Amino acid sequence: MKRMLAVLCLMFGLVSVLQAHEGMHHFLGKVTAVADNSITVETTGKESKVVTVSITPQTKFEKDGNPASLKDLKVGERVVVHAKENKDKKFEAAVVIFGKPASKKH
Amino acid sequence: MRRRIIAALIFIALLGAAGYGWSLLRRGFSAHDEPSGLESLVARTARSLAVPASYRRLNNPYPPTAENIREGLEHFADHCAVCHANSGGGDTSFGRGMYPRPPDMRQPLTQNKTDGELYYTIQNGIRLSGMPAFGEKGRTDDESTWRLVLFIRHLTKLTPAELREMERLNPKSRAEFEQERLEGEFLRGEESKQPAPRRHH
Repeated sequence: MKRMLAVLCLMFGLVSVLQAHEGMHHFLGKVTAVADNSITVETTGKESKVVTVSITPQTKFEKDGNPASLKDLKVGERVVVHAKENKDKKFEAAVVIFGKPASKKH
Repeated sequence: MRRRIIAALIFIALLGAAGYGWSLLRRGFSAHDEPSGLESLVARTARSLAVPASYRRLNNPYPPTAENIREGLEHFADHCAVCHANSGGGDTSFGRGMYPRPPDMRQPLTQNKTDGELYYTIQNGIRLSGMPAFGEKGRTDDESTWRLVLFIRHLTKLTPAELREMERLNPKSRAEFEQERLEGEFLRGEESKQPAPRRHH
């Protein structure tokens, strides 16, 4: 009985962990266009593609490790975008990072 | 006559309990729902009453110095933010999946609690919620918990710089470390090691 309960608890725990996680897409590439509410990035690497990512009021911008804004982002700049896919299967940027990478403590 | 009244009251109470049980079974045990107003009120009241008066009266023995708050911040970013968020707002993927959701600790429901109540909650957890007991039972002098209490008070004054610092202190998986390393290399122009875009949890 105890084993059964432990298995059930584990299953519930596993399901909740899986549900709690949310997929985040990472795009690394060069900016090809900047609009008021979106940016377009041509990703580099073997699977190069052009991706347009929406900018929302919650989107954070980080340049050289410091807070920045969409205005600081220029076409041709190297950029890292962390984006979520919304219900309409469109990408919404959570964080847009450019410039020199921030120094990490870990 | 009196017995009949008592019997009627017991019958009504049993009927209510059965109805609640039935609704609970019909609703299921999904954590997606929000607790009803009544459920929240009853749970909050019961929880508040369950905090021993000896704890409720405790005052934080640690002063809110920059160093103490800083230590609380580091501890919070490392242990608590995964559910409560760095801001204390509770809007995290784990927090959104919990029943009940973690509270927004910047709000009066948390901030109006006494130091002792906050300390008790961290040390002893909250039964039937996602909040574990982090401390030793009966202990009232846990330094790191008292510093967390200081930091919870500080949440209402958190600066953007502190939030950024906390993001760097949040625990990371090996995959996240690797992702950060690759992103850093890419931003520095070291394209040869840059992978194709990918997705992870």
